[in-house]
Amino acid sequence: MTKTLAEIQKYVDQLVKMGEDPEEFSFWLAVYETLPDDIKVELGSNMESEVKELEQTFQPKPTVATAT
Amino acid sequence: MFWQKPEKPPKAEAPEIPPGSSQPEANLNEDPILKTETRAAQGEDPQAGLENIAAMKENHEQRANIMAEKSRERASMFGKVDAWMTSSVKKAVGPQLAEKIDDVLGWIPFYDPAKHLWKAEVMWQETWKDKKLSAGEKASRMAQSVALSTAAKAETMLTIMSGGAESIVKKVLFKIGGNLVDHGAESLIEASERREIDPQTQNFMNKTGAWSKENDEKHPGILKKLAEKFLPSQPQPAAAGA
Repeated sequence: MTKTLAEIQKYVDQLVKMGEDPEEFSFWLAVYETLPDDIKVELGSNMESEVKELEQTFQPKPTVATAT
Repeated sequence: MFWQKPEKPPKAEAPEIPPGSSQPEANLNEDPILKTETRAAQGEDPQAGLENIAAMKENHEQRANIMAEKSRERASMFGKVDAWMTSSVKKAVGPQLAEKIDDVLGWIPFYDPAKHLWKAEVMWQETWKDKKLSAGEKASRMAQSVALSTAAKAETMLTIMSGGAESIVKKVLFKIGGNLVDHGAESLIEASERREIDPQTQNFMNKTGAWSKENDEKHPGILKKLAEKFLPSQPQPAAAGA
């Protein structure tokens, strides 16, 4: 399913905050609405999964229980 | 690749201690163990501190790998966008005009025009800051040529295409390059006619992709042709006695 430009913008904001290159994403934002649907889906999926994967790196790892 | 992994800072080397001399006085602020002990005295678990540092390092590498992988995926999408756009344009205009599109696309690199023009503009500004007026003037003119020729390509396509491809070209090329487009008429024609180009300018053109020997040989005079087609013609001098 294709994502809206607003959704893509939200992913871009998150990715830039997490250290991604804003210059590259300015290109994708500029052209997004003109892309064919299959590329929109692919791009949206790419950004969504990157956000999720990067967010996971911020999650604290489960602590190992120590023997008492 | 758009994202580059930052280089790791060089490891600090341990200071050499001359034989027979005493150990240097420990620096509480620099020694990681003493620092850890200080933390321990403040109620922190020293082992946890070391584990945190290791975890942060691992996280950093993990994040860099994720970004690089996703960036590679997006880079491959550039190719798909270009192929889709070219294909849809050719279908719309038919084989005869499609051949003309091949000519124009073959001469000027299409990939990532935003970065292409951005580099041209930065180099143009830096040249002026250096006050190297003769070389700078040439370089600035070439920068304008880059913008103009890129926009000219877009203009060529806009005149013959239809459908969604029009908006992608308009947005990507015209919007970004518009601020430089107004200045390049003279330099565009000069560039097409002049073959004596100083090394700095040649290097600039090679870096920005504005010029290559192969392209010049493949499409002789295309710059001039583009200029004639898209630039406003010079006002003709009034006839004598009029």
